[in-house]
Amino acid sequence: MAEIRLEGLAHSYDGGKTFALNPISMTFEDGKAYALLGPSGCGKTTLLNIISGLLKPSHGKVFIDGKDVTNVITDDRNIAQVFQFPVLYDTMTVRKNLEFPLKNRKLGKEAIAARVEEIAGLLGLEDDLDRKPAKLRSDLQQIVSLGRGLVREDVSAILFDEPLTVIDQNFKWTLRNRLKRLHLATGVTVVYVTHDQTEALTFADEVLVMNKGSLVQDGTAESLFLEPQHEFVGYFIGSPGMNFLDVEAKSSILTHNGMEIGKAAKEGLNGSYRFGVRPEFLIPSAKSGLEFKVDRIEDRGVFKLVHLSKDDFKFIAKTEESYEAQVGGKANFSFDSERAFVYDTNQKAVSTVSPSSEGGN
Amino acid sequence: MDAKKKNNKAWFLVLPVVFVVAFTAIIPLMAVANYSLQDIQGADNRLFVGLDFFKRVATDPNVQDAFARNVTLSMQILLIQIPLGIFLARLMPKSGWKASAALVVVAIPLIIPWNVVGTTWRIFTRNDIGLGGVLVNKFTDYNLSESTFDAWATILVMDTWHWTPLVTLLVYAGLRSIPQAYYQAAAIDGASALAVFRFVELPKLKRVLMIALLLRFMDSFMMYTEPFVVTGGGPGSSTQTLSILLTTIAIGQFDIGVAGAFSLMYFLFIQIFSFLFFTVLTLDERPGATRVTPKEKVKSREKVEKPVNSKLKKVLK
Amino acid sequence: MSTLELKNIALHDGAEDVMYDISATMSSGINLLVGPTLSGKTTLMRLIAGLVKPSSGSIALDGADISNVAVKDRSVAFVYQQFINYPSLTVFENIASPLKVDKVKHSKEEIAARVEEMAKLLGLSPFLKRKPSELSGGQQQRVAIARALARKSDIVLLDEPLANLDYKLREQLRAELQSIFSEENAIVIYSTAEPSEALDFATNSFVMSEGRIIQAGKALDIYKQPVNVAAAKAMADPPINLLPSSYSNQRAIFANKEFQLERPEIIGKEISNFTLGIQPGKITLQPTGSNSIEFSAEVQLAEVTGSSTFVHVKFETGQEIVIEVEGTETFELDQRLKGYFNPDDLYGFDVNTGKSIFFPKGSVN
Repeated sequence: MAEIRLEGLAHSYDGGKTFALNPISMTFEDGKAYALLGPSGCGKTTLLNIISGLLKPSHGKVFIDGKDVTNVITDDRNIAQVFQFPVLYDTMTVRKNLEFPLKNRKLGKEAIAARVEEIAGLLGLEDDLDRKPAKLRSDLQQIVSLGRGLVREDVSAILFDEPLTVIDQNFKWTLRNRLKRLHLATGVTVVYVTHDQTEALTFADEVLVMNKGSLVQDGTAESLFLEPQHEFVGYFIGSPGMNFLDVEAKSSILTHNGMEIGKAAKEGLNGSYRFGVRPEFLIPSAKSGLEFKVDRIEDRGVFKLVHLSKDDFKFIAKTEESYEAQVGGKANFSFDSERAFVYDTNQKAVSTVSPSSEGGN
Repeated sequence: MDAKKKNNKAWFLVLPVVFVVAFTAIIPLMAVANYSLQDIQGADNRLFVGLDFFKRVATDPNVQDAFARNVTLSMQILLIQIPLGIFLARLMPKSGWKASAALVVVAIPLIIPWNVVGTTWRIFTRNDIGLGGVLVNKFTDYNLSESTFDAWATILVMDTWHWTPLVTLLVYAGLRSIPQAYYQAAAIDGASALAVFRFVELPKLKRVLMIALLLRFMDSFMMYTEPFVVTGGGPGSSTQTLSILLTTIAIGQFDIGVAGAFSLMYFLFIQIFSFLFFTVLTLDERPGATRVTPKEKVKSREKVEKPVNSKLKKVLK
Repeated sequence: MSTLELKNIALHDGAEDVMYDISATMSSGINLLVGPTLSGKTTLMRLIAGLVKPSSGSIALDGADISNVAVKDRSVAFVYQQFINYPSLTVFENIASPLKVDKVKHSKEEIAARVEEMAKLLGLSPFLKRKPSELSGGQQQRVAIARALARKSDIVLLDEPLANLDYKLREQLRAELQSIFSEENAIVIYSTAEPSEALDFATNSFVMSEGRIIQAGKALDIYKQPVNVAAAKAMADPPINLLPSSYSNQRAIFANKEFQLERPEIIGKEISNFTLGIQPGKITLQPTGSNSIEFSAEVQLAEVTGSSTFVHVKFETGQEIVIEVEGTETFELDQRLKGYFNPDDLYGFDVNTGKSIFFPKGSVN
């Protein structure tokens, strides 16, 4: 169990011309679960490989429990890592595969056997222990891979690199659940890389959203959802993502093509901004708010997605399943003043927005 | 069914190959078989002798000695060249210009014609003017036309120089195709360098090594040109391979019948040995072996496999 | 409008049955094959493409039997989960490649025009001169899709085409694909293992399980009225909660809670036990009406996504269910909570066969 600290960490694969990972400094606290969330190529796997020591950073330092390990090899960092696709030793049975990391660390025979049984039980591999991995289905192979990452008890941290990519949807829920419980039970520091927001948000105590090699925002699932401090977080987290609209600000009054959208809480905003509100916080209202045309309503079983348009822009609202409206007709939607934001040209949130008092109220 | 009709059509595509093979292999082979069964005295004077020639070849002490020599030579070659090839391949740079340069250097012996190799080594090992011969003579008495050991060792070293690069290139290609993730996983698991080789590289190289083993076995078992040029099979008959002996019988003594029987047996031995070799090494890759099978099936197959394995091993011994 | 008709298709591999008695009618637009890994989606697509011959049964396109037509003579295009393009050809040449080998000769201008059109449709116009390796995963898959569409094939097969892409990119491409295929006359067959994807497309769906098509219909209708447990599972994300229950005198058991269950489907029938199903989103932490049933259970885990929280709870009986609540709720582990459900929202499945006995009320249209 350990605290991992990054200091001015950055990485360039081509000697400084371009950076796969821009300078980042942060601390992964002991015993917490972290998720690195972002699209492919955002630098999350690079960061993970630097932490595990598979990759030596071109800049900055890595500390584990206060000790500089930047130049320490993987084996001596005492870190477990699970990869995106099954990586197994073909000539060994499932049992031997699970024993391997323990044997390499010279554990006693009985301790190894007991631990392997335990992990196999946790992952539902009991019946397959004496089979060769090549004879298993690909999702089971990945679970064996996962087991090899989890089998060591003494690790400083476990790193997961999109471990559930090849796992079936329904089983993903079960596995995530088991992993989460295992984390709660062992209290080991976990770093989990994924592009799947549900996976990241449900698994981690803290989510680091990354884009183009930079850390964009970190926080709890709740704060990322409710208060996206960066346009990318608004777009990437939430399904569907945030609704955006270019606006002009004049003394903090926001307008789009002359139509008033709302008023920023922060005083004195002038110039070009973007207004953003999540579909969940566009709220049907009897009369207040903006009047939209209803283009389409998608019934998703437990909620509805209402596709709205007005002049030259489109919004999506996520409503209760009981919401009814005439497709092609008009409907009024307002927004929650704590949950609508205005972003500057650097895509950073500068203020919340309250619905304008005009607009039919 | 219609599907089957279509499949049958595909056989026609193989016809040209069958045709070519008929000319290059089957017809000559039939001719050889024809010679091996009759004693041809003259154009109109031939006598059917059945398997007499085969018996003669099988009991000929010269042939038996040459066979033993060839087996020893092939085994020594495999034991030296396969590990050495793997060792060299692992030393080769993985990328960049250095990798290309290393590939070119390693490949040089492979593009030299057999008899040129032989001639080069013939001169190289001369103890009056050859660089190698003179050099070795400084440390120990070296004379390949007098010492059996020197002649044998020279053949081994020469073949190793000539053909290890083939193993190296095959293994190098095999190593390059192992995904990086396997090495990373092994590092994470705390595997030693030896364990990485044993559990990651060797299993992934299995197919490539099998091909290398087969090629090197067949080539070395049929070795002719190099010993012929360097030692001429001597001193005595100490480096006389089956191929050299066969040529002596066929061309030197013009004993066509015996030579025919000899050729057929030679050919069949290599065929059967290679086939057995291949079968043993691919036992676990038979169709269906990779499919998800119910446990009972897997178990029962394992039961069947084991005796087969040990039987084959006995046969090979 | 064209139609593809599969009649009683079966496939055996040696003694093993791979596909059982598949009959389905697919028409222009997107047809979804939904089901977990190994349910037979890819095999069925390979059968339709002609890469595999069915052991029995027939395939007809617009009434004409194409069962015996070779792959190259069928008008099909196939897009795989992996991004498969010709690595040495440019994007332009990749998209043009099926047109060049087409039996109908196309002039250079025709090909160029069609490629431009496809590139525009899929947002590839700026990349036509690049090699596939110089594109992102999403762009590479767009090239593969453009190539599939370039020759106006009657049948376009997309085998989990978005599975290897980022979550967010999937959302975007899904929306694009829907608008692209709404303009094409092709019969598009699209396979997915993700329930949310099926609900997103909201189109004709075929649920597959263990080599059979077990249900056909609109995704939402299947979600509301699955024929059996497998269909319910294939359409629900988060997974549907299933609890074994006993039943007598209109009283049923929900884990540790006995309650009144009035369903005409089971009244008067000799059913003493069944499996109850309920969607995680239909369980609430506050009573929702007069017929809400209260139960209590222990919190095992709470997963917060921001927009909602998944609470995993466990009953004394050892059974576990998941509750999806709106917004962010925090719970102590092992804390007891009170949950509520409405018996009208319950599904009922046969214990042995998994067949549906009743559906949530109001789901009947």
